Amino acid sequence: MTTITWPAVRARVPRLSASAIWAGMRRQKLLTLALGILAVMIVLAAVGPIIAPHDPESVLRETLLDERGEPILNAEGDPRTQLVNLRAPSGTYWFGTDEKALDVFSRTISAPRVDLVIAIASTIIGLGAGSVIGLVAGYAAGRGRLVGSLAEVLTRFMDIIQAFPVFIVALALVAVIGSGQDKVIYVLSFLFTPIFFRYVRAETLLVRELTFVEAERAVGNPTRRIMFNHILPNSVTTATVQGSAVMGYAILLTAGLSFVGAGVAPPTPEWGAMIRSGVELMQSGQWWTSVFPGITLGLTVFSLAVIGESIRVRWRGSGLRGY
Amino acid sequence: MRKFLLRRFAFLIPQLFVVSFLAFLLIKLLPGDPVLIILGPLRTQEGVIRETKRLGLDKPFFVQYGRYVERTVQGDFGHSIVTKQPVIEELGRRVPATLWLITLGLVACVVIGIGVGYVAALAPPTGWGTWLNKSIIGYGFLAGALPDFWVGLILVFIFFATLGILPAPIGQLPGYVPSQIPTGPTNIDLLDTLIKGDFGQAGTAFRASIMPVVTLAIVYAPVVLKITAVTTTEVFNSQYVTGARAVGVRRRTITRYIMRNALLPIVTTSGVLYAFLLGGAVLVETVFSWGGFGQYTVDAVNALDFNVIQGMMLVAAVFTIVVYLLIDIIHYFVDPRIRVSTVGSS
Repeated sequence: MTTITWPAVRARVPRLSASAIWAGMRRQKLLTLALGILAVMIVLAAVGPIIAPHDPESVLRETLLDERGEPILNAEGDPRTQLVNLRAPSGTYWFGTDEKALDVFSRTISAPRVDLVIAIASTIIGLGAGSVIGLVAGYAAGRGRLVGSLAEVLTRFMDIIQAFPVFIVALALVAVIGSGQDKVIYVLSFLFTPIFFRYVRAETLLVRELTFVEAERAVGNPTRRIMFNHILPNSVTTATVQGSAVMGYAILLTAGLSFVGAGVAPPTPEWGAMIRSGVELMQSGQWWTSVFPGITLGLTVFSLAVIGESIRVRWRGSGLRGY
Repeated sequence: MRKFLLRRFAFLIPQLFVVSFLAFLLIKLLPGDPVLIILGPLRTQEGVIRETKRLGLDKPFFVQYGRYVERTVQGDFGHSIVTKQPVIEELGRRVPATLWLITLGLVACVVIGIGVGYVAALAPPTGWGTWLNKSIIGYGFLAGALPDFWVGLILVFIFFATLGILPAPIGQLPGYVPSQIPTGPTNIDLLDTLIKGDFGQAGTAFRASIMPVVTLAIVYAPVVLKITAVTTTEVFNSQYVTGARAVGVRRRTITRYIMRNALLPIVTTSGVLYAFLLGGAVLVETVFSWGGFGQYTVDAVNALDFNVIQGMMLVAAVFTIVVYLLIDIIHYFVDPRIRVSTVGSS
């Protein structure tokens, strides 16, 4: 028996040496910066509340001292304390403290656990739901009377959801199901589903006409297998590429909802709610409560946008349409 | 022309039906019995039954929906639970203020976006051109990443709290008590003061609108800017422009050739942005206590004021639908190809 050896068709995988990575980083400075910021945020999501210098959710008190540096005692003989509120940034409180005497730095670095988790969860759920529904709607479009019209109704329904301004729908849905981290995840997942739905449906319409799908059908594969094992992997790419940008959008929406008191409520550390707590203070000149969470939020969304854009640029011209 | 418009308008009717149905459905899903919310804790059993009958809540779902459509078409959006005022009147007072704000914001975005985007697209690929294009890309990423309400707060801190050159973010007419604020025909304080002829007040109203409009411009101008730069570059590199340049057509004429074709995507993007701003303005309005649609929405959601939520959902969706209709009509006039294809298909 002879063995047939195929000619070596091996993709040239670039060797990842330290110098190659270094050269890549020097070439793509913006992307490197973005990846760095995102890595920091992911680490903070994991350990933020643990490494925070103060408890992000409990008020700070300090002991009152008299002129000799001795603690002043009250009638019961306990030292008298006062709230450490509205302190400007200092060596002890790096980002200052807010009106309720919470440490702004500790809260800012603890917030990724709330914001990033909402962003990642809602994007994944939206991507999953949008992909499956988009796949079904795309595969069924124009087939059979009932299935075809159901697919059509589904598509129109998704269009109509997108006819409502996103933030207003988000507000209304929060009114229906309530607020809190988990509820915000549900609302955003629902809002993101039509975005991914459109991409997957459009790609499915193209992929289902390709020869390999016809071949799958000819050899007798069941429809479900063709759809999920063969079409889906080929039609989720464009949707997945949007994932990073959608995550950034999720963070902005979460912050916006919390800013008007409809998202995640204090004392849970969340950037939008923190910015809200400083609205009046900004008018009286105490800028730190709102400014630091805003910058951190902005950096996170910025890094997600940059990463999303470079993924998109990389994918352009390859993938399905490049067959 | 008539045929196109008629067909486009006919398309509105099913859209409005679906939108109203979704707004209705959403309110049906709200937790809590509206009758109990309206009557409050001091209610009697008979009162509950009477109110349920009066609101028609004992009827089947689709009968209720039919009644809702009937009332809505007649301009009856029900009463607010909180203020007891008819929702349509409250919307009529507040929506103009928001439309005014987002229209000014959009104009600012379009002027900056098209101006800078056009210059950037035609800039030489060396020296200041590279610099300009790089800064636009960076600015686009940055502005897209910053929450609009935060940018508004930063402006408040700089121009009100620190420099003190712009009025406090406390409404359209800061420093006046409600009785001094004119109730004019437009329900937009700046225009009403002008109509009344009180230029002192109008000046205050003008100064009060600078920060919110600039906020919208800073955050959303890159949207128009990017599409202008991209499409203008594309059109500029097309063969017909190269041809026109080669035969020595005047620069002004070439600009007109380019704009005519670059305009369509810009119009579409600006329209989508306009529709988006209605939602986005909610937050900016909150920062500046604008007293418009956005704040009304937030209050209604926090108080579960279901008639108001229903009304504002409808207004928001109708606004979006109308903006998209306008985009289509503008396309029809700017792009002769649509006219040809409409004639061909009919």
